[in-house]
Order: sequence, then C-alpha cells, then structure tokens
Amino acid sequence: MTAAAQAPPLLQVRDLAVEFGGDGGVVKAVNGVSFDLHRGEIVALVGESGCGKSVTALALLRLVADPPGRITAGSIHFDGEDLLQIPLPLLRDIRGDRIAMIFQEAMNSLNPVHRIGRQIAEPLSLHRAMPMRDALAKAVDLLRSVRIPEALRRSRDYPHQFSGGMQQRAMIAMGMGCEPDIIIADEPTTALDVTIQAQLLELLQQQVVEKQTSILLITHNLGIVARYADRVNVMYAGRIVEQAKAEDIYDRPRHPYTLGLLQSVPRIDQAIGDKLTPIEGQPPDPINPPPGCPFRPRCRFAVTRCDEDIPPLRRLTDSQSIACWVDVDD
Amino acid sequence: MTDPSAPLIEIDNLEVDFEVGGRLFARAGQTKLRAVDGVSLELRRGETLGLVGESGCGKSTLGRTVLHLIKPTGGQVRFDGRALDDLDEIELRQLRRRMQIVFQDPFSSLNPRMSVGEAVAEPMLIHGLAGKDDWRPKVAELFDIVGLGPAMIDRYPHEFSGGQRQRVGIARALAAQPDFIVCDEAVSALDVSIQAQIINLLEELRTRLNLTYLFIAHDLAVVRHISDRVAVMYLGRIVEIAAKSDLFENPLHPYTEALLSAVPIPDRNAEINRQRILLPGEVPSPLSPPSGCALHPRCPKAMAVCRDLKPALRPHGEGHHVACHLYSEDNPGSF
Amino acid sequence: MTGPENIRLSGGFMVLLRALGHAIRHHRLSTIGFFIILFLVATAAFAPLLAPYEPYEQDLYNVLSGPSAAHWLGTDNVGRDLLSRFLYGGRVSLLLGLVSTLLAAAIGVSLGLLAGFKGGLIDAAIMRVVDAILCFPFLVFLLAMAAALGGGLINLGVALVLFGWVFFARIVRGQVLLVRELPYVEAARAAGASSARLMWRHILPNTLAPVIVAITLGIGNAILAESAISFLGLGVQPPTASWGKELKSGFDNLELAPLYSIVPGILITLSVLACNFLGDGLRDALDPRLRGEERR
Repeated sequence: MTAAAQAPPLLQVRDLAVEFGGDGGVVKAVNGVSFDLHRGEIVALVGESGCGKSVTALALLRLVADPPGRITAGSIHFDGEDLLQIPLPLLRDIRGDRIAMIFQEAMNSLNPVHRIGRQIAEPLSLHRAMPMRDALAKAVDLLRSVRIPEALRRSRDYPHQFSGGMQQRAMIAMGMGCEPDIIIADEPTTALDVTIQAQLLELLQQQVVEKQTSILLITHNLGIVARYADRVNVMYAGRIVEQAKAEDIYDRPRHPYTLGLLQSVPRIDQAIGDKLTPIEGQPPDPINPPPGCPFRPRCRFAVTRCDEDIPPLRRLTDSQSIACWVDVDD
Repeated sequence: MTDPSAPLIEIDNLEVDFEVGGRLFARAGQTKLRAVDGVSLELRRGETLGLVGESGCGKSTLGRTVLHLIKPTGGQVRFDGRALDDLDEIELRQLRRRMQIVFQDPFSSLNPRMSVGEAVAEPMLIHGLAGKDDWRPKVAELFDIVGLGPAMIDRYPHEFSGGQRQRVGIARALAAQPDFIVCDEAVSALDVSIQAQIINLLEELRTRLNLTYLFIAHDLAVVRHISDRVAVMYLGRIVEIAAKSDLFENPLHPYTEALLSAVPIPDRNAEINRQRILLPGEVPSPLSPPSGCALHPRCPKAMAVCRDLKPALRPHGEGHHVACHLYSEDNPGSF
Repeated sequence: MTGPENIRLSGGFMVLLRALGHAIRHHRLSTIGFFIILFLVATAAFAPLLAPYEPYEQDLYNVLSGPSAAHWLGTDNVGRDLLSRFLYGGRVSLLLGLVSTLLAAAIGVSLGLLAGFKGGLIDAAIMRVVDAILCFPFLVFLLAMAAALGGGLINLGVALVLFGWVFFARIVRGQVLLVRELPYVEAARAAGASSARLMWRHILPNTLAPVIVAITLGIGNAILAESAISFLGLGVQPPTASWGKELKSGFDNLELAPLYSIVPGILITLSVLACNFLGDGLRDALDPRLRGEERR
C-alpha cells in the first residue's frame, strides 16, 4: 500500500460541491470536498446522517438527481479524465464497468421481476458484449465467489427468495462482475446483522487483495472502518474535517468532532461503567448553517476565531489533515 | 405493598406462534412460525436486562409479548405477581400504565397529526393522571426531564430531528409513571453522537425514577454498556444468560462467542489484533428450524448429539445459564 | 368501549371545521372553490327569490328562443325560462350530489374503519357485502327499483348512497390496514388506549386524505350520474328541473339553443372543480406537515 501511494492516484476528487435547491432555500450538501483514492486501497468516508457522504458518492458518477441537485464546482479525475467534463455516453461506459456502485438497500436495488443470475449477467453483456449464455455462466461463478451455496440453482431465484445478506452478496457479485477499478460501497452492510456484516466485509477486502480493486467505503460506523480502511475521511456538514491514515485517526484524533465521535461510542473492549461522552446538541440546520465553523455550536474546544472564519483543511503531518483552528492533540 | 425482593416480571416458558401464508392452500404444519420458543426469564426490580440477537431471532416479539401487545400461544407473563393472562381487557389497559415501551423508529412511532405535547399527554389522559385542561405543566415537566424545551410542546413531529423525536418517545413512555419500560432498539436508528445522549438519558432516568428496563438491541457494545444482565437469543430461544461482566468476559455458548467477535471495535490496533470467529452461512428460517440445537449447522464446535437433541438452558456457574451440549454433565468433553 | 378516558365525539367535527377555516384562509384555490360553492348553493337556496319566472310556466308561443331581455338565457322546448330552470335545477343537483355523497362517505368510512380495525369475521362480512354490491350492475338495480318503487329523487338518492358507500369502505379499509400496523398506533395501545380511542384519534385522522379526495370526486360523479339516470327517465321526474336533465335535453336542441346545454354543463363542471379545489386545501390543512409549510 505504501508503494501505491507513490503512483498518481486512481481517483482524484478536488473541491467538489453539490447543492440542492428548492423554494425553502439552498442546501450546500457537499461543500468543497477533496480526497484521493489509490489503486488497491480502501478509503473510508465516515460521518453521520446528512453529512453529505452519500451525496458525494453519487456525485462521483454524476448520479445526483437534477433537479433538485446540482454539482456546482470541482473536478473528479479518473484515469486522466475529468468525470465532470466528459460527455454522458462516455460516462455511462464507465458506470458499472470501471466504477461500480453498491447501495445499502439491496432489496430496492435489485429488480424484483428478474432472476438474480440474469441481473448479474446484464452488465457483463452490456459492457463486455458477452453473449448472454456466457454472461449467465459468469454470473454463476460470481455468485460462487461471494459464497452463495448452490450457486447454479440460486442464480435462477428471484430477489425475494434471497435473505437480506444474500441479496447484498448478489449486489457485490454484480459490482465485481466487470472487474472494476473502483467499487463505491455506500453503507453496504448497515442493514445487516454483525455476523453477516463481517462476512461481507471480508469478501470486499479479499477483492482488494486479489484484484487490486480500490474501494470507497461510505459508512457511519467507525468500528467497521477501523479494521478495513487504509485511510479515513471524516465528514461533517458537507465538509471533510479530518483526513488521516486509519492508525492515526484512532490513536491520535486531532479534530474535535473525530474525538467526540470516538468518545461517544460504547466499546466492547473497554472497562465497564464509564459514562459515555456524547457530543451535545444537534447537527446544524443545512438551510441556515451557523456562521464560521459548522461544528462550532457543539464544540468543546472552540475559540473566538471559530465564530467567524471557516477553517480550511490544513496539513498537520504528511498523512494527517484537519479543518480546525485548534488541534485537539495539544 | 409488594415484596421488594420479588421479581417485577416473571416470564415462564413463553411461546409465540405466528400463522403465515394463506390458510387455503397451506399444508398442515407449514403454517406455524414459532417466533418465541419456550423462554423463561425474570426481571428484578430496578435492573436492566439486555436482550440481544440478530434480526428474526424473536427478541422484539418477546418484548411485545411481555407487554401483552402480542398474546402468547403458550406460557405466562406475571407482572408484579399478577398473571397478565388472567386480566380482562379493562384491567389490562389499566395495568398498561405501569409498563411502557420505547420504539426503534423515532419517525413512525409518533402520530403525525398530533402535536408532540398531545402525544406525551395522551397516556396521562387515558389513565386519569391529568385532565384535558391541566396537562400542560405536567408535560412541560416531562419535557424538561428528557431535555426538550417547553416551547416545543405545540410543535408537530415532522419539525423534530431523530434524536429529539426519541426524547419525545421517552417522555411519552414516562408520562404514565411506569415501573417497567421495554426499550425496543430504542437507540439503534440514531447517529452515534446522538445515541450517546439518549443512552445517558435512559441511564439517568433509571436511577432517578427507579425504573426496570428490558433493553432489546442488536448492538452488543450498547447493551454491554447499559445492562446489568444480558440474555442472548437465537431462533426464538435463549441460548445464554449471565451478568454482563460474566457474559462478555467469559462467554460460554459458541454463538455468543461468534457474536462478540464480530462486533466492530472503533480502534485500529484492537481490530487488527483480535481473533474473529466467522460463523458460516446464515440464520436459518424459523419456518423450518434445524433439528436438535438450532445452531448446529453453523457451529464450529458441533458434536453428533447437537443434531438430535435440543440443549436445555442449564446453570453453569453463579447466575450464568447456557443452552449448549458442551456444558452438559453427561458430556465427556465438559469441563 | 368504556374506559377511564372520555372521548368527545364532536372533536372530529371541530377538527374538520377548523381545517376548513384554515384551508379557506391559507390555500388560494380553496378560497376560490369555497366561494364558488357558496355562490352556487346560495343561488339554489334563494331560487324562488332570484328566478324571474316559475320554472314550470310554459309559453308555447316562445319555444327554444335565444337570449332576450325577457328570457336572459332563452327558453326550452316547451317555452319555460331557462335561467329559472337552472336556478331551481341547482337545488336538485347540488342537494343530491352533496347529500348522497356525504351520506355514502359517512357509512363507508364507518364500515371500512370497522372492517379494517376489527378484522376477522366482521371484516369478512362487510367486505363480502362490498364485493356483492360492486359486481351488481347499477343500472339493472335502478331499473328494478324503479319498477318496484317508482323513480324519483329520493329513490335515486338512496340508490346512489347504496352504491356509493362501498368505494369509501374499500379506500378506508385499505388505509386502516396500513396505518394500524404503524408504531404510533402500537404505542398508543401500549399506553392503554381503548379501541375507540385508537380508531378515533390515531387511525381515522391518518386515513382521511384519500377520503376527502374521493368525496370531491364523488360529488361530481353523483351530479353526472343523476343526469344520465334522469335521461333514462328513472331519476328526476318531469317537470322537475335538474342540471343533468337540462344538459341532456338541451343536447338534443344544441343547434337551436346552444345555451340550453352549455350553461348546465358549465355549472356542473364549475361545481365539480370547486369541490376539488376545496378538497385539496382541506387535505393539506388536515396534515400538520403540509400546514407547517404553508405557514412559512
């Protein structure tokens, strides 16, 4: 993974901004987000509901519904091209082929009237011009590789005949079908039980090791990220507030929000009986964000400067940056 | 009044069956789904019993059956010494004042057409604890207890965030001054920073109002934090129950072990260095449960006997019960 | 149904009245709809004062005449003043439309609520009756009824209610089945609420939106149904006037006296539209979520 860091990044997102406009006002859902994704790397985008992490994921493939959404600024360089500039037909060739997406709600992402095998085979015949028969055979192989028992028989099942965990595995199989360079996984295991979660994440990680796929893992769960991510971006109110290697995020969180998140989750390996330390208050109203730093109203470390100036992302070490005027570590 | 050392809730061999599918074409024996399969439990006054298990294990059904929101097919629930089965409709409604529930989904558990103040006042009105004209000060007091401003009384649920709605849900549960509250995944839908606020609130309220909780959740870290004792369910049965320190430090049942090892820890080093026990396959359908021990097709320690014989929940150490053949006396491998 | 709590059954109507007030004040189309209905009802109610002629007064020397100073809208095929007939016809059409629809809604909502909430045998019984009525041809029933009891306004109204309530029952039952499984209903049950309270406070208000839409459509349908049936001679009996009947007979004389059918057509359309406008606003006013947005 260190070697990969030397090569230019596979995906380079710069100053991405997405707005949602309505009569009630304009919401800046994503507000100047920049990050890199290298080959064979798992990068996490972590944050709570409404922080803009899923919108960021959708924006990468220009899938934000327009209207009401608009990508208003930024660039997304993938393999030398800016995905925000290339014509739509070219982008369609990339979607599902070189960049695949896995959503949280497998049940809603699978078409209830088509057999599982056929749905997995479809992108293959579409992007690879594979004859349907070969594509179906490949689909069975893929189902086998995500450890669906009796893959041949189950490939003829309809989605409702699969359990939630199996549906999500079928989604992963579909995502892996064209051997994409990047898999964007938006809360891929959130709806599932912990034991099934563990199975699926192992599966994704295996894909990274074997095929050098890159994964953008979008989640609210800091626990999942700890084991699987190489680098972590923490988002709050549409901005990345901390960016670091996974080791550093957990050992030395430097942004007050990251620290707050880590302190507010109960941990199974800690002494029993300590009171939790929640982050007080609520996330800001996206229509009327407070002036200055959006985390200011909930922050224990705030200084006067936070009231007026929005802190930019600044580099603390080679691999750790925060968007904060103070450094929690001091 | 009553013996304070007697348990508040006694659950005795509780069974709940659901009929599934159309009655017309189903063959006999296929139509019954056993959601809760012979569960016996006690809740002492003032304790929090955690109930964990994966989706479909019957934990939520058990919680609702304890409150008789679902009528059991077999077995009994006694609340403060009174068997709920013996009560008529009106007596049961009156007893509901003392046992309440907080739901998982803060978005659908409030009536969109009632102001949150009215929602919280409703249990008071039902049980004659307040009148149509004098509930406001009492609701304001409850709002204060759960950390909501009195100005919010006349607002409607859609104006609130998830965390605030859950506070309303808790205020409603407290309105009738209950002794017992079932928290059914009460914090699962909340963001972690808000989740911690609500967990702290629930803990505070328990001491302040001397409440007894049945805390149902799938998140073991949360359950470990809030509970005194913890019961683990798998496919309708309790497989292990123990004091929380005991259960988390010394899990006996292979399922408990696997469950614990799968809980993610938000710490890089701890995660990388820990041993994982991955159970193969998935939870079987309760429509056709495996023979013998329900876990045996997935269990890394399964023996021949597990396929044929259902293990009973037996004591194994102080206050620790486990339903596994590894620990039965006649098993040569026991220790 | 008795419990420690008290339910003021008038509460629901107060809510409706308040919603009506809110809709008229805050929803522009509703305001228009409300005043159109008010105007039409007023003209119908004061028809005897407003009408320049007796509606049955024939003038056989002056048949199918065009608009004139004496007859503003002209006369019909037996020389009766059209304006007077439309004014009187509004009494029949509006009364029939409003009363039959509201009555059908009241019966349908109650039975649908009961069926959906109680389930089991009660549900099966009510829904089988609904199915039976739905598959019975309305016109055949009317013919049979006319043969047995004769035609006429009252019988027509009874028939409309008898066939109308099933639609409301079906809508409400479907809604109840959805709503009664929602956690807030279970929460109220867990709080000790009685069946009456659950139905009245928690389930019914959350099923009303499609009912209100159905009522506004139903009123229009009833007015149109009356016209079709009167045309067959089974509804309103001559010489009584109704919009529907005038529309039909005017249609036969379209070339000679276009206003004969156009004006009742406009009146019917106007009343149906007005009901829809008002219903839209009423539905929004009953929903705190939409009401809140209006406030901004």
